[in-house]
Amino acid sequence: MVVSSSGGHFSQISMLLKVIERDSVLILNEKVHLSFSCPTHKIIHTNSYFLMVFHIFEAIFYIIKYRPEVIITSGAAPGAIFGMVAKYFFGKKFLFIESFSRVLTPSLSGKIASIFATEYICQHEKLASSIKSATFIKTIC
Amino acid sequence: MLIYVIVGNDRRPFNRLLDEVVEITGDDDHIEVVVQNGHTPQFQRKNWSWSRFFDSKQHIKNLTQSNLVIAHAGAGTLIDCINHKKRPLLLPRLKQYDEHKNDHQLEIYHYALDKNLASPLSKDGILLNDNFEVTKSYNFNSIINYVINKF
Repeated sequence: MVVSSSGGHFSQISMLLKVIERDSVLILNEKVHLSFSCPTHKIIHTNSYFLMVFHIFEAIFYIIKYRPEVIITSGAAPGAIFGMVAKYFFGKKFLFIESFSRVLTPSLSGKIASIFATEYICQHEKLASSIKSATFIKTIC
Repeated sequence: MLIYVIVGNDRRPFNRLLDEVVEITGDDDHIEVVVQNGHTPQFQRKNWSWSRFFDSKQHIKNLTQSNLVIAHAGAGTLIDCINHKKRPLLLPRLKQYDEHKNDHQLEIYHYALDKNLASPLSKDGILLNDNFEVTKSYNFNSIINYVINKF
């Protein structure tokens, strides 16, 4: 199950999605202008902390519906919430890919993920060295 | 000369970027401007065309056809530019002007300038950008391979 917000979050993870499309479910919180053949669901878009709670229920619903083995997300907040629900309520793997835009400091969802995710991947060496649990993978060459 | 302007998809408007582009292009009739304006209001201007969001095909077409890209300092935009051999002129969205929820765009902005992947948005930037080749590329395959092997 791939969970992503739009913009940079999605443009990065869509490259992965192209490869694993057949075995995936895609959860978005805003419309994107690329279509994939896998089942795709749009969840609510919110910036309020109160409504974030709603994502917990959405996560439970979709995880029961699709029974994914692993949640992969690049943020933002809804992705981290889906990941935590999957890991702690359902014992699934939670993989977080930090955005290329984060060179020195983690995003809010990344900060959460660096503590709770099964694996936290980031794309800059400096950021990776400041977070114990991080796996650094180079993407600029 | 075709300039492609990308404002980003954040819901906050980014008028400062468009004001700068107006300033830089002035009344030059040889400059054509295509703007993906997202949630920033459009306005009337000669030789400018607009779309809130281009579909990805048209976006790539705009990128390849343009002589210059001017954009917010967003990761998705920067990656697209690098992979189409464009060195964009960037202006980061800042919290102080209510253009983003925080100042995280400054990180990738300084990184990109540092690695010669972008120039700061200014009139000199246009000249600088003329004879510059981006030799690096952004490659997500390393992450894809890692993820597939691992899970």
